[in-house]
Amino acid sequence: MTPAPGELSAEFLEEHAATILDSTADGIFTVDPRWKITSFNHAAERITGIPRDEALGRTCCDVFRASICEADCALRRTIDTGEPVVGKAVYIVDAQGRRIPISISTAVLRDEQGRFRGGVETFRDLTLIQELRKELSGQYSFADIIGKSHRMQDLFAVLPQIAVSGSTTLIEGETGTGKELFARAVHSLSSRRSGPFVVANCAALPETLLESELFGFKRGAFTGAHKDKPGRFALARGGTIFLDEVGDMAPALQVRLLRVLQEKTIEPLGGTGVEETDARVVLATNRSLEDLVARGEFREDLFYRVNVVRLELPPLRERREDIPLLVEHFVDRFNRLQEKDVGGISPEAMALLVGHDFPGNVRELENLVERAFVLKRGGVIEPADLPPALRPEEGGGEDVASGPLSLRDLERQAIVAALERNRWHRLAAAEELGIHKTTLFRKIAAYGIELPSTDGRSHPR
Amino acid sequence: MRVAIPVWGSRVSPVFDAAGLLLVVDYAGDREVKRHLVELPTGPLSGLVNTVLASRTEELLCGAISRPLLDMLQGEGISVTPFLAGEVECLLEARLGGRLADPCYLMPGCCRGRRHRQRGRGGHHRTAGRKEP
Repeated sequence: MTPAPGELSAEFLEEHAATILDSTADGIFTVDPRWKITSFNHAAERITGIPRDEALGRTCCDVFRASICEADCALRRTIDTGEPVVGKAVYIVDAQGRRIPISISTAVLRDEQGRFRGGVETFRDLTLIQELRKELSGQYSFADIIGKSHRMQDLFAVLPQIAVSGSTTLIEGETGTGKELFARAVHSLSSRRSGPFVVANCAALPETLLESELFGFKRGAFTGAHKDKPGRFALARGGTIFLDEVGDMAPALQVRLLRVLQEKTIEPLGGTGVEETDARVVLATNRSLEDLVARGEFREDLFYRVNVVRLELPPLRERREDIPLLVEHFVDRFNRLQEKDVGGISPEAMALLVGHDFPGNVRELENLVERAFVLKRGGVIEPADLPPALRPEEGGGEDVASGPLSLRDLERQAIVAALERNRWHRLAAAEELGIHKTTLFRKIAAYGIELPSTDGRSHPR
Repeated sequence: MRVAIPVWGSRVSPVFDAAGLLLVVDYAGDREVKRHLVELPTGPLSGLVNTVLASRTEELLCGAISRPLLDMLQGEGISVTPFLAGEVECLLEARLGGRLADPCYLMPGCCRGRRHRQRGRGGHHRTAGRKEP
């Protein structure tokens, strides 16, 4: 057939087919009826990382390595049904082991007599689109930990390797940085995930109690020990034990912990023998163990034993870019928990949060958002919903009369007003407020309400 | 020695992350003594790792494999030879003959910097912000 004036001839197109294919940004390859690659364009080389000369003649699944090759080959389905596949989202695995998200489209190649001659598959790299989508939807989370900052992403990257290593892991970070969340992630990403995750706070219990909690005791070990009690190490067999605030552990217990780590055995109080433990040990501290070692408050040999793998969690002030993401996460969470419809946070309020130093880290941020939720049912969180200390125009003062008050502020005001109305007679004020007098006494102490030197008990109303 | 290889018909599965069936072969020295099939789960990678661990596989031969899955398996002490292509029987034979590193058994694009990773748990990871003791 002669081409019309201005049209390209079939010979010309055939001659320049490779140039045409190489000019597109989408990967394109063709296969023959035996599934061998017969053409492979530049974009296909770039996306898969496989040179054309290595791809040609090889079985397509060995080259393409897509998640659907085995169970649901798109090209095979097109051949079987006659229906093309368009824009199906799958992933391929490149030679570096990266999963590359792509969308694929397929078509069957037939000759002039309609005989099957092979197929063509085009595919588009979706990595950038997925990154952008991730950015937009804020899905920067890993094992319940939120963060898109480089420091958090670096931690996310090493966490799976640390988890599977089985090594004793030390997590350092200020209070509220999420040490227990990371410890749980280490456990849930390890092969021990089906085993127990046992938490022990070394600062929460007196030394002797902590010792029996960790190592257990045998019947008759001390007065009141009527039966054997397994310790946390024993309970954590096959799983992970998380020792929080390990920097506060007493010296005598440090010796016993060292023995557990070295010999993998525990000795219950009052027992005559040792018991084996295979619990993986994850420790956390908000104090610098190196400093404690230098001051002689933490054993050096134990420090080297626990410092096998160390994760340092950054304080929130060093990853301020995560604050908007965290606020969004907490707003979503409290909306769900409290069945509210708060739409987010105003730019002005966000600016106040991003400028705050957060000595209490993520926990403090969470508390601030929860506080703002107390009086809101909808709308967005405004600067007035944040504590006065964060609002520069109020200089951190206590005057909260100009803006909405938190439940706590309201309760304090209600108590003071009731006391004043009842001339500081606390029983009368309690009756007016509808609470028991001991509850009122507790709240007066909790809110630091100062009572006058003479009160209503001597001058009842 | 217990060797496993994901199979797709008579060939090794192209992508282990998406494989459906694992052939487990027991050897006494160079002699094959037993083989059986294990179904692989779909879903999270941890399910795959658990299934391989439950099969008590010591050495895994496979096609393409994503980095996280490879790290998890090696972290569990399993020796993995990835990015193999071709007929399963040929690969098992090549393993006995020590020829798995031959380019003819490798997927395209995987010849450079080829690896045969050894078993073993990483005991001392360098981590973000890590300080040396």
